[in-house]
Amino acid sequence: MNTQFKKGVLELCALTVLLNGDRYGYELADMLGKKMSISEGSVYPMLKRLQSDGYFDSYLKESPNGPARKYYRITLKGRDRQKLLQDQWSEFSNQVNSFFEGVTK
Amino acid sequence: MNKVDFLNELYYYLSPLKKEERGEILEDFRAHFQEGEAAGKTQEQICQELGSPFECAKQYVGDAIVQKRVEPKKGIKHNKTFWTVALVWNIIQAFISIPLTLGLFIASAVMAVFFCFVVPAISSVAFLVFAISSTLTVFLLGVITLLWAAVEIKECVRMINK
Repeated sequence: MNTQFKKGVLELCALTVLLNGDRYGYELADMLGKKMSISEGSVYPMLKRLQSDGYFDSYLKESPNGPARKYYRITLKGRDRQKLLQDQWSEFSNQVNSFFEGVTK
Repeated sequence: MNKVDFLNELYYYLSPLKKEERGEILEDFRAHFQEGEAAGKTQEQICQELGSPFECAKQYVGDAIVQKRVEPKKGIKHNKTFWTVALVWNIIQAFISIPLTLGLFIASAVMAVFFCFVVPAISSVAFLVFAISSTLTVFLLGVITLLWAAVEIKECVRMINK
């Protein structure tokens, strides 16, 4: 599938995952990579960008085995962003669906 | 491709970014390999899932260009040696211009005082205007040279650190 196509939506997915609790980098990469069938490597640049835009912040937390993990936590700004993107996504997918219905009739 | 190949290649393609930032990015990927291996995956498998290091780097560098932290390549790209030589040259220039400017400034000032107060009999308004204006001109020239050198030095340091 077209990667450019997914890129915008990936941001919404990451924000939505974090809305339901903090996650560490590998968890997010693994989850988004598998469920959205994208290369996991593209999750990290996105996390960095969203963090520098102020939608996430991060903290280190001890892990039971191995070194401390970097956890990502959604900010208030991130919550607003998630809501905005979610609304935009609903609107857009409705538009696309009704377009298809119109064309195939 | 194994972990070391992946990280080396990623580091190479991230070269437009600052060293510190490249280090942070590599840290994220090192942690990813660590977690993946702990979950029982092979390094090859993890590389496969990550995709190509070039594609990863492209996103980081692209974001940095959009956020204006990195300038896109244009024209001739000078290397570190060039900027280091330029830096040394500019510092030398600044050091030469300080005593030169100060010396000329003091000489002009002394001349002005001499003509105005010591020999008022032979001095005239024309002399006074000449003395003051030459003092100011020398002073301004010196300040401009120094400011110019400062700007150049700053640019050189920025390019060396890049």
